[in-house]
Amino acid sequence: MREVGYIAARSWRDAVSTLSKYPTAKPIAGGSDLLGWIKEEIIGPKEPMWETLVDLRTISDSAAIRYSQREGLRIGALATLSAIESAPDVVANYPLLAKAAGVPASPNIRNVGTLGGNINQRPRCWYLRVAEFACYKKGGDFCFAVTGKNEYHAILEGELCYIVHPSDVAPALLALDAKARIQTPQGEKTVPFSEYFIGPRQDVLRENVLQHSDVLIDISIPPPNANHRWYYQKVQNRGETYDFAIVNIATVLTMKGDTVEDSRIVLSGVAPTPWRATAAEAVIKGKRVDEALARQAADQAMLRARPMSDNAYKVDVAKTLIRRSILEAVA
Amino acid sequence: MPSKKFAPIQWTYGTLITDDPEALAREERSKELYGFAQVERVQRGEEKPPSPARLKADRSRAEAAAALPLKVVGTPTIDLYAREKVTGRARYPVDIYPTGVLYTKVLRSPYPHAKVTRLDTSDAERMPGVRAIVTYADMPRIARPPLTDEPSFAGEGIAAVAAETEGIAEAALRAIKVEYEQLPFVLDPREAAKPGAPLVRSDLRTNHVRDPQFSNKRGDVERGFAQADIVVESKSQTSWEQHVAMEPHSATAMWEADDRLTVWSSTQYAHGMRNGIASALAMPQSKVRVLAEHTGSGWGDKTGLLPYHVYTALLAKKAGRPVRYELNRKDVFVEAGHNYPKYQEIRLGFKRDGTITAMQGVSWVPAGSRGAPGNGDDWESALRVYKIPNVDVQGFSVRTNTVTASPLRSVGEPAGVFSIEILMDQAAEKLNMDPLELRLKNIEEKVDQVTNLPFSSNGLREALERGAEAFGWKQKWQGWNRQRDLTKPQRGVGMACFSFNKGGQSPPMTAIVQIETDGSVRMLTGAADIGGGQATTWSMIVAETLGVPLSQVTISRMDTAAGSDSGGIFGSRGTKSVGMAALRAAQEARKELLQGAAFNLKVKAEELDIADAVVFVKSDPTKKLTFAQAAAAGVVIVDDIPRTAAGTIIGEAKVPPPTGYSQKTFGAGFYEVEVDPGTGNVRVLRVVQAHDVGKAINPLAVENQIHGGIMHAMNKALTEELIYDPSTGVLVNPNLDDYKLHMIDATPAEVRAILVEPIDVIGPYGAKGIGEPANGVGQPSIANAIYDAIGARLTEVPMNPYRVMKAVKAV
Repeated sequence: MREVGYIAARSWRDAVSTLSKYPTAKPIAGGSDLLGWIKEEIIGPKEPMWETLVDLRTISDSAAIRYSQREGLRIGALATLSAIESAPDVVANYPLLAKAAGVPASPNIRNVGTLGGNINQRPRCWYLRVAEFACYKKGGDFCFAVTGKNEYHAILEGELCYIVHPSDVAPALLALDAKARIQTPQGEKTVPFSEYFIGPRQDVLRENVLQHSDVLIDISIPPPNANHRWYYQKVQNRGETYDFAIVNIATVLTMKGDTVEDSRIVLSGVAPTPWRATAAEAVIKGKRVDEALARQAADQAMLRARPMSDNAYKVDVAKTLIRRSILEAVA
Repeated sequence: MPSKKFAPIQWTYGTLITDDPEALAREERSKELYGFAQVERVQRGEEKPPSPARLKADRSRAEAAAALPLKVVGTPTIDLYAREKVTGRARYPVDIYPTGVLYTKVLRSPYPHAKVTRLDTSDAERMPGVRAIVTYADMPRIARPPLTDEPSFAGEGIAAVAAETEGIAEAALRAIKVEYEQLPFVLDPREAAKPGAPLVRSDLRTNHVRDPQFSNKRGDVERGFAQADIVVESKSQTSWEQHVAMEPHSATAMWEADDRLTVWSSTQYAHGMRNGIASALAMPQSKVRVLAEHTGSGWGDKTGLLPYHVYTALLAKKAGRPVRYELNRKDVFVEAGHNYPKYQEIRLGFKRDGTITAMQGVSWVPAGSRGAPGNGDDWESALRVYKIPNVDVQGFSVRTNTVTASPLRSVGEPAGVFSIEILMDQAAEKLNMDPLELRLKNIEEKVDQVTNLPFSSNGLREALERGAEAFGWKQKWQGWNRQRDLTKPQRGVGMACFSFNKGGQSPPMTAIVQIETDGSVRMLTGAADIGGGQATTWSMIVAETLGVPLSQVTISRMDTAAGSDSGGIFGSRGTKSVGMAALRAAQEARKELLQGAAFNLKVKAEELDIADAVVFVKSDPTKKLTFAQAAAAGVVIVDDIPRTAAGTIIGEAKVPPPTGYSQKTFGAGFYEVEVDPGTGNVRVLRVVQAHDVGKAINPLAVENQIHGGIMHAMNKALTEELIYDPSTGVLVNPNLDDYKLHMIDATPAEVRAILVEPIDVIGPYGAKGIGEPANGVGQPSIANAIYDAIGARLTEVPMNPYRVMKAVKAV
């Protein structure tokens, strides 16, 4: 591996000002993905060789997990996934998030991997990840998945580029209506996660709103709702051994008696961003859940799917998960 | 005079005399890899079966030997090196850093076929910290050029840099100016075989390796199908696989003088590698030393000379410093080898009562742009395990612009078993028979139908029956055509059986057993312990033969300067071949030791025996010496006269493989799986595998091999697959994220290995090989169990959600 510079950030502001100074600097948290990225020399016309790492772990209080009944939950971007999955406040009040944080990778990686890193990690597209392919996402002029091997690629909302969003935690954050607090060189701003992720249509080089010098400070989730019912499932190639998702789902139903008042059904692994199945949500709104309704919701959600040569099976997997999530959430 | 073209091929006890250019080319290739020509008998079956008298004599000798009590052999024994390995103290070749060592990086072709039109290393050479650069122009002219100006697969090396750090070496690669002219390429063997297909390399005249690479005919296949009441057929496909040895490939080269070279390298065959290096560098074999204290597994991918052995040695010479190259995982995926996938079409004919009448088939494998052509053994199991009177099968092997072919554990045999055993189940369903019964009805137990030689032992029936019993097959298998609820996960059971060509002994088989004057014992061998417990097994054979406790025996670590060439650790030959040499060498050492003891005890050597490190007179055990006293006696008998010959007792053996028998391994597997038809996930819940292993020298090591084989087969069945991008010919998954392997958490809740131990007339203490065969039945058993669970027939691996969901749709 080549040598890279290292700068320890003292504060969020320090981090962004350092990043503004160096166009080839990159923030590092757990590093479980970034170091491999650098080692593999994944560079391209618009994917620079990262020469300096700005360490965010040295920022004080950046990994705090705070909960109050009135304010809800706030988690620093540097909190490790294993800290979140085992935090009593998270387990007791946001079991969906605890579950989602316990799903990625292995215990070793969750011990170093952070919330921010999981949300902002780069996609797993094998053309992006192999240096030889100069694809759109590296600044090239081709998407190899379109003519090539695409069994893990997007079935929805692909355009130019057909990556899928790799985060296991992000769908849970969308389903829980979470917000992101971001440090920019101009100051702090707050963005709901429903607007945090961006697709290739908006900018093929990025997967979220963060610009080069921006960093995620923390996330916040409103107080828990006693009428929420939830479900989370991840389908992966290697059933028992950790793997990235083929499809995963985070579903929150807000119940009124035995009818669905409102819902958030969010899938990862199907689209370039965590994807909300609004068509399915519309089908179940105000209804009592049964097998036929759940099946109808799943079919409705997948009407818009446009699979490629190898990934049509993901449509069926997504339907299974939508159907099961609705049924299991109320079971 | 017969014309040269049709000169017959003669088998003359050890040397294949031939004018056949293809055979000569194969031998050349073997010479390059191992330093000697590995000759094969082109026409099988010319070996004569033993006479009835010899058969009887061999059988009764083996039975008498099997009745003798054993002290060490047969006792489950923890690997003697396990502790140092799990505590991190074991030193692997990749751990070696000589003083002043330099680091290597390699410039690789991004194209599957190209011509280098410009290569300028001058800027890179001037960079601080760069100590040497070699390119294709510096390489010896050998069949697989270590670096080339005509890369024939994406990832083939062009130039190599040695520098003070890895980072400097990487920067130097970026400073090398290289331009390519891209050439047409072909990835699929069926395409590459067509007339007009692009040539994989410009030095080839055809992409066909041989045409066909393999064929076997017996009986009259047309008549066989005419006699059939039902015919079943299938098309199947296995995957391109990488071996993914835990210890990545590496070489550290150090010149002791201008004409003496030492190489530490992770290897399954130090002497083969040594000979290959010597031949490539035009050096005497004796001036090259290859050593590896431990090897972190090989799976067939570390068997001989690989490109990095040559260029690290040349870089070390140029730099005047030791040079190491530790391949990273991506380097391994392209510089080492790939086991080939197999595309296969078979038909089988059956009588209504389940008797097989005929088999016909054709298979295709991509042989890579270089390397072992493959497709010689894929049909072995089918041809041997069942009585099939009429056969016509052919296997084609065609060069493709893919990574060098390199055999992986069991090579093509699991692919062959996959296709035939799925077909057996399809037939069982058509005949409405229990799959177990159909197999029991058709197995051949006495004679190997390929060589017409008697089996040295055959435990297949026992393996099928005991495996089925332990699994509860009769209760678990619920018959064909049962109703299934495809909205929920479903359970199913499946089975398969096989015979592998991994039983027989093969040369070279040599060993030296030394007894020191304090009675401690050393076995010297160049053969490797690659993690399968081989050294422990050899120690047990030596200890048993000498009558000493296991703790008294030490095995030299793999070093060409210490041990002799006993062949590679591949083809499951560690126990049966090297073990045979160990047995004979120990017998020789024992003979000399008893001479000294006989002189001191004033009896004849034949009157003595050894037990628990005590040498005693059989008729009067009170007359005895300790093993150490006997070892120090220093007496040998020459011409009936005792003479003083103090010092180490040396027993040497060079053993030719036995003839007259077909020694094969057999086994059966029973799998229970859970399949989620909504997601395509397959979970293996329970496995019973029963293997005919001959005598299990170390039952614990044998069980380990079977457990490991089951995990390996689960990977082959469910996850492993190298994928080339069709439009660029570049591998999309040369990493362990996307080349998927199960980890320990996927181990089924219940795994049971059953050892079937028939008396074998050939093996050392009756042992056969088991390292490779353990992965033989997993793929078809899982495919058959998936069918039982959800009624979807999968004939392609890996059976991952992508394929399972496609098959569910087709139900």
